[in-house]
Amino acid sequence: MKELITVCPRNCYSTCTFRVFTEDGRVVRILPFEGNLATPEGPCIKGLSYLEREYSPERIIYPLRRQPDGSFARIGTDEALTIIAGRLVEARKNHGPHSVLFYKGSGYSGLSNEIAGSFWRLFGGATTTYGNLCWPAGLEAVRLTLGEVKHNLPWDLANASMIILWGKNSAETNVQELIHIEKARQNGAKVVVIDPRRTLTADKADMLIRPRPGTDAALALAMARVIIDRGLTDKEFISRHVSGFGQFAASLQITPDKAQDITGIPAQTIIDLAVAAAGAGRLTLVAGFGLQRYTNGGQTIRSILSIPVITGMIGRPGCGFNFANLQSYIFDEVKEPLSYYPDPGTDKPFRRAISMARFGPDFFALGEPAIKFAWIERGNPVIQLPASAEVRKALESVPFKVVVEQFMTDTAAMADIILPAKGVFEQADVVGSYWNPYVQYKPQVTDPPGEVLPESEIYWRLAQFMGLNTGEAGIPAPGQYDSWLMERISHTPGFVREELLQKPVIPDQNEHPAYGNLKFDTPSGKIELLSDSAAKLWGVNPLPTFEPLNDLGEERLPLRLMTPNIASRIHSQFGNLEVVRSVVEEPAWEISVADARSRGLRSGDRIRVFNSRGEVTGKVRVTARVRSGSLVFPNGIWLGEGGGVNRLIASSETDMGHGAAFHNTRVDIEKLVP
Amino acid sequence: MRKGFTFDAALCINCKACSAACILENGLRPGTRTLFTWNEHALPLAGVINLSMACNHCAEPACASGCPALAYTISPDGVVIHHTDRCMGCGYCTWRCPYGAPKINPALGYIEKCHFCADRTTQGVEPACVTACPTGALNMTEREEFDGALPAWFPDTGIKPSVFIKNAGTNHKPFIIPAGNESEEDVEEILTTQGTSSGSSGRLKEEWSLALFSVLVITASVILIVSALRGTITGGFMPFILMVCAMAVSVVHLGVPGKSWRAVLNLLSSPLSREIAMVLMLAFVALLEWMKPDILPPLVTGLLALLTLISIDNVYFAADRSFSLKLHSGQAFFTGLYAATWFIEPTIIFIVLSMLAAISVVMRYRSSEADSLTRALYYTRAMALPMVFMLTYPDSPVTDIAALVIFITGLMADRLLFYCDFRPPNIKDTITEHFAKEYEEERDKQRQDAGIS
Repeated sequence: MKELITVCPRNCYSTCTFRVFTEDGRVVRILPFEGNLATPEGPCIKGLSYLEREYSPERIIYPLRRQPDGSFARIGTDEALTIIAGRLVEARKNHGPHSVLFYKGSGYSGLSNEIAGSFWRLFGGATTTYGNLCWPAGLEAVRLTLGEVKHNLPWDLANASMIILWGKNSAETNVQELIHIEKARQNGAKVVVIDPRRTLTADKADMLIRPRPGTDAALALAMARVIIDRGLTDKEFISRHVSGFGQFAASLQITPDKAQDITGIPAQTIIDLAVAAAGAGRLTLVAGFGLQRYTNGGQTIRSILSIPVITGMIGRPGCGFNFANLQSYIFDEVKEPLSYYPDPGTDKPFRRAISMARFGPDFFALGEPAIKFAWIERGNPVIQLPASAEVRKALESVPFKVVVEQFMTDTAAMADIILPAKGVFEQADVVGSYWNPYVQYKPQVTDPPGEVLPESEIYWRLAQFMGLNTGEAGIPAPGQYDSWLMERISHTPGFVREELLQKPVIPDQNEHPAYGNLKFDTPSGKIELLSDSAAKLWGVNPLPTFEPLNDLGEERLPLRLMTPNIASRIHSQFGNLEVVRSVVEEPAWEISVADARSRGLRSGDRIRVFNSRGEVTGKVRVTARVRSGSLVFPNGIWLGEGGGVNRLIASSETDMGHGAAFHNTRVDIEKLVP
Repeated sequence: MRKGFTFDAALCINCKACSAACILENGLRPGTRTLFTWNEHALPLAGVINLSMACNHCAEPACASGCPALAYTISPDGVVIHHTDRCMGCGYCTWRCPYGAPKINPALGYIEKCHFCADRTTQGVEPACVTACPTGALNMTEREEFDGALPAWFPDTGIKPSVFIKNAGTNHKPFIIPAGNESEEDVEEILTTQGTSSGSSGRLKEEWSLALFSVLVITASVILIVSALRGTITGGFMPFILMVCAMAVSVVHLGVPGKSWRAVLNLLSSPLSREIAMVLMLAFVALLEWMKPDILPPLVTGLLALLTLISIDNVYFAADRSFSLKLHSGQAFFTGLYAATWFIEPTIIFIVLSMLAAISVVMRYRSSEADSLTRALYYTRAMALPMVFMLTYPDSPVTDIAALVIFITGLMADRLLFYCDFRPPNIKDTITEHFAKEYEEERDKQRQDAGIS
């Protein structure tokens, strides 16, 4: 068996390194790679399932064309590309390049993705999306406060004496973080989870605090006030490194009693938690992504971040604020969240952009030229975008659609031509992580099956069919891809290339502890509790504040809908695999005991979930894991599996960063008579 | 050196990578590694216990000793290996194993079980579940003795499991604030009644062929016993036909009927092999009775029939963890004897047996747990009891034939109830019982404390 070290390129914190073994051109075994200290044990169920995913009989390995009767039939690659090239040329000639929509999701990460950008620039531009569905509010909040988005090494968690997991469900979304948390626990650390749900992570904690969804900022600011009132701040740290502390302290109107009314957490608990956090010595506060998917998400993260700032827990081992760690993104010219802005300078002449979070309404408000051609890759917008019924309508209005996919997703099923997408093992790439510090080389392990082409080659061939000159455009010819990749990474310092080709490397640029030099890339050079940029860019209060949730006109609906990520999927990926289905329960609408009782619901009953945007039906599961007033259903479930929960979600941006405020959604439910 | 798994419940996060890895490595459906979770819907006052379990490769494996077909072998490193090509799919090992390790593959009919990833370990690679575990909760070890680093609740019926289980003994739980605005009773009521099978006829439905088999064998045995005791020659025709039917039905029960000839290979240690051997012998005796009525002394025939009934009961005793069936009036031996006394009419014995049956039936009354089929069987059984007493009075208005029908119906209902009540060891039940009890104690203590303060 041939052995190679590779990495999982999905949109996931862990970005696990693992060893793969091939036999007769097929990966037959996956083993952990102990050299990645963040993920020294096995990958998760999704990583393991590549053994099925890449060889599934359901995988699309030939180009498919929609037939008049709606079914799909195999066509040749050249035929498919000829048709696509014709359509592209026609759209550009008659309506200009902005009549072409280029939509990319987060389904695959790696430098090779840049080739798509090169192609569309060469084409003359396109209509694209800006913003991001996931995490920009938090990224922007951290950037505004600390200047950069980074944190300590993941395994540094073991040095903490107190860990607060604020809205992060590591057990399902960042499995290996539990290794380091458990080490900290064994060293005597206390672990507190703050989450409206009792998650699988909360099961492992010493304490679970369950605030009302969307009220985290009130809880954080009340804690900050207690810390300040009791003189528990790190005064020297504040005077040297923090800007706007005086204004911040003076602005704190939320007392523990007031916070109790807002959050539902007893005032005494808030006081105790604040005192414990301030006195912990080494506090690491780990914030998840879900709690910033609200209209107040950015301000919430700024509020929570104020706690480690005023207690001086920044820039030291065992301490810090872990939201995202972009230190391994050394090849990016423009890092997130700046790259999510509508008009990054580099793309200005080419790009007309619409908000991802408001894709539906923005699409219909585009004006001229209307979209005549859509190219969708690495994504499943019909499932993942907010207000997905509107998204579907938008895509239905596009006369010609190409989807690059591995499986017949709900989006692929709308395509006129489906091009088979490469598998995880089928092209070399370089992958960063937003949690662990490693830059990782992902070698080509096996050849693509059938007529699968990596996107780089799809674009190159398409350019030839269109008569575009790929010479200087950064679109490598077949056989030239590997040298393109080596050339791409050769201008960036910080690592030895030969080493990177062997195993994951921590680049020299990596700073540990993060912010250890206490230099902050903000306008003031200090940590900015008071941020004029925040006010200027986003129209929010320059100080962290608690903003009550915008209920988008549906205050009267009794339940708040939460659509978290679950262990068996990355959004809409992996759930279709047989191995995943055989070990994971069917998704169900989770409801609290109190809400179930008042509606006469029992587990297994069918319900209709509805609001002004639409309705979804499914089975209910009664559980004490959910807080009363909330309804929980995972995102990413395909329509055929009873999913499509995003049909209920409003097209609404977060307060900063152009994120999507998924969790602002309110719904009502009704029992269906069997 | 023996190989075994080690499991740290503190590190297990219920991610199911181990189950998935097992399926991917061995292509098995269902996978042989299962994650058992207690309190998955999170009773607020209790922790959540996760237990990942495949085969514990016991030093004295009950699956192997009970296997009638000798489908199990034990490798020099203590790994209990099941050979699918020697398996007839009777499922007896699934009753004997308290950990649920052997599982029937419904598509192929035979048993599949963890073999410690034999292909990998010979290459020096750890089992798939172990290398897959993303938190390091699951590992393997090799040692001479597995000397009991197990939680007190872990079922160990003297079979010496080769496994270490850490941190699953105490019920770690987060302190939750606020406790929630639903009352504890509501939470308990809703959460503890869902997901659990409220009825118990499931096993009867699953094992209908075994139930029918045993009813047929009991009937044949009764005829042989009665004719032996009366000294009359009733002929072996009827019992023989019944026995042949019984054997045909029992073959239907097998996942791999073509391998049914293997059923008698393990007379040395398998109660099931012995039962099958006894049934075969009794069928032969019935054939003899039919063909050459005078060749066997009546006592031998009667005794063989009684031993056959005992051998049937032994199959179940050897698998039932709770031993509750020892007092069950649906036992084969009891049923056979009871039926026989009806015909032979030593009234006093008949009355004593009737009273024993009545006690057993009354003691088994658990209406709340039973589903409708079980309840129907129970009431049928119970109604037949007083009828029997009435008949012991000579001037009973009930005709002899009607009485016989009611009596036999009652017995059959009881035999079917035996399958409803039969409870082979099952780790999920073990965990549920233990932690539910621990939870109730904790809850009552907290209520008391609250009452005091």
